[in-house]
Amino acid sequence: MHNRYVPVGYLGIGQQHLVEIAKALARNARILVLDEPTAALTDPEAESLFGILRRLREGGTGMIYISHKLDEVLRLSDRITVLRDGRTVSTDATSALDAKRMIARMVGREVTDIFPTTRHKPENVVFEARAVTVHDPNVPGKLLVDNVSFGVRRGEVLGIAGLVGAGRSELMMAIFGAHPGRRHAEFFVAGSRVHIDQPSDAIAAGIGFVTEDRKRFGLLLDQSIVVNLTLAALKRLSGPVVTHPDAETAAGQRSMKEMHIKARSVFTVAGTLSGGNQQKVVLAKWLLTDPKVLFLDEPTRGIDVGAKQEIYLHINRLASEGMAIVLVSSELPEVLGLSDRIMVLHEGRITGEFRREEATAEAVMAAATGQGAAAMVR
Amino acid sequence: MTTVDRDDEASLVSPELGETRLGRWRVSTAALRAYTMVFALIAIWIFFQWKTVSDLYPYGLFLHPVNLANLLKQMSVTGVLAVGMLFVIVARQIDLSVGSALGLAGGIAAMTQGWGLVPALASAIVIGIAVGALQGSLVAYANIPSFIVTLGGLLTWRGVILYLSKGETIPVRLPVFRQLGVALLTPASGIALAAVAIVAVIWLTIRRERARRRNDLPGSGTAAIVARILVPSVLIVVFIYMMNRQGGVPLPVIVLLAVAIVGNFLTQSTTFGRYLYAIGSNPDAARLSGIDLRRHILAAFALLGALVGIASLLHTGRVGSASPDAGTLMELDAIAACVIGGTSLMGGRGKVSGALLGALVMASLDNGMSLLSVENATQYIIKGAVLVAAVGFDMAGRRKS
Repeated sequence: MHNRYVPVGYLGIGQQHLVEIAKALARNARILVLDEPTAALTDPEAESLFGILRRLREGGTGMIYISHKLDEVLRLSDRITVLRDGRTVSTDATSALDAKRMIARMVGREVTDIFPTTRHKPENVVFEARAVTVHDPNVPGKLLVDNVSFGVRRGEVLGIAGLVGAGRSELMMAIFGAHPGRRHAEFFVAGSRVHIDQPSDAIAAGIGFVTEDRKRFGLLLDQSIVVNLTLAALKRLSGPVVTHPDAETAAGQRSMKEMHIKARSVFTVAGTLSGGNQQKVVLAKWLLTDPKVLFLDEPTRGIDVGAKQEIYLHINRLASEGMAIVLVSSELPEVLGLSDRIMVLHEGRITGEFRREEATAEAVMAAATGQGAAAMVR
Repeated sequence: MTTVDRDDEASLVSPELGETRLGRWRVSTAALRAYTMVFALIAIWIFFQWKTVSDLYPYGLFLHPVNLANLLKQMSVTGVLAVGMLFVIVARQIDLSVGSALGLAGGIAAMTQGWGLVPALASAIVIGIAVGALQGSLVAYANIPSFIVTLGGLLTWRGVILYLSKGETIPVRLPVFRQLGVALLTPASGIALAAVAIVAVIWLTIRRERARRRNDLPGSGTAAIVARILVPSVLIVVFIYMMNRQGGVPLPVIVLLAVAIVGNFLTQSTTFGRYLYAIGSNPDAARLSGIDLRRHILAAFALLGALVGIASLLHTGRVGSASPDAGTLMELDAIAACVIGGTSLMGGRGKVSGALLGALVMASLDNGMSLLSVENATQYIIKGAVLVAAVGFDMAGRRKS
């Protein structure tokens, strides 16, 4: 054990968690809330944490244990509450539940008729990623993405499902050359090898990337809509050295009309738009780069239903126009409704792959929670 | 979809492009803020004009052509530095070393006079670029915060020039070097300059209207076009007339104007400038849009370095000698000029015209208070208060909207 003057930052993540728990206990906490406490732990560390939690329970501490790892919840808890879309679905005694029943409740039954019913006719493979491995920059030895390979065809929507923390965003960021962690991978565009070391390489290779967090990674919130729209394609739209504001404005206005972005003018500051319109600006920005492959990471997060529907229609239109689309989403109905093929990630690894016809919510959720093998046998 | 519409309706009062009601007029908030600074400057000028009324100058001394020329010569050095500083601040960086770097570049130029005029002048600019590029690469590639790198530079470059000059002041011997800081354009070339400038204003206005029509944007009304030509033209004529009355336009002012035109072009009309704004506005989003942050940040510092070199020549030429403490505290004047002119230290916002306006405000305060023989101590206090008040007004205005 370290001496007690070691700064907490120098400890391993596992020990940091223990410090947090000790801190809560030192205040004589009678109820302890643990939110994904094992997300950063190795298996032995998690086991020792479970030992501590059991002792606390015996000592009379009440605990709320939040996790997406079903086996942990089943092992540790007395009662289980399932939440979906911010609502309580059910609360049951753990003895009355098993993984399959929990998955059924997590999936629920959603109206899927807001999804357009077009089928695409996928053609030849435009983009392929082979053996993508991404290291966690903060935890040595931990892999965020572990040997993931996939290809996407012209006119195809490839859905990537998985729970939060499964490594989906990290996979997209890493392919785009924007992840801080060490990365091994090979990429092929239209059959020939390309090197992507930074986002400009990815853009040059014909990849567009609508990121998960539009405020942090997508928009210049204090700049106008037009500046945002033309940013990634500035040199093509406006000349390599000298910009042409009027040509940009005209391109921005066309884009605004095409994407139905609601704002007073292209000079409106992006940060003042509603979430849906901001998202449409980000999408339009990448379309202006004329991409062959478009990565969409949670493209409908935090936007209203109407704007969602519009984004779905755009995704379908783009695919039918021949764009290859990789769609990452935590909303199962969305992935099921839009994708031609679904790949499922769990803890950085591919745990399932489904064609549209064979994909059911239960099967995808089973793979996403690491119960895939059982589900597939069935 | 009504919810989306309502959201947009509520957010129309955006800080940058909303409208402010002034009685029954609705004015763009951005324009209002720019004009506020112009009005503040005019108020400062009227105040000093009124306070300098005497038997000798019954209409006041402050705006007398001779004093105005002096003021502009003082402003040239700060102005050139402020334009350079703008590039760095827009990219969310800062440079605290420009005063010391100016002392170093000016000192080296004075020491290399023996090599001839061109090598002496070139050495100042080369030193400026080298200092900027070194600091810029430490910021961009070694990830050291620019505040620290340039704080180190503030001390280091001052030390280097003290060492090289052995603490002695070096006189400027080359006449052309001296003239750089004090020469006046002949009145005839002043008039020619005014003519060229007015033709340029007309040409730019027409070109812009044509481009708007070519891209199917609504053209401006005739009244707006006439105003856009007439207002700058009148200002140009008045300026040249005043300067010619005292012998001609000072050369440093011409240098400043040239720097400002180039700076304005770079920030407003090049991809390089746009990328600096993007980097300052949101570095993560800029990087994901394919912008090479490091190269652009390095370039911004190197560009500022080149302008520090030019400013050092103007300053050394005007003073007539290079002293080892030349340029002390000038970094603060340059930063203050940018900030008073509406540049955000958070990056992504600011214009050359604003930086010039800020430099003019600072120079006017310096010059006016000297005319009134205000003590040094009081001058510092007033300049400090004006800086904080200017930013305070700006922030208050933003919070309200």
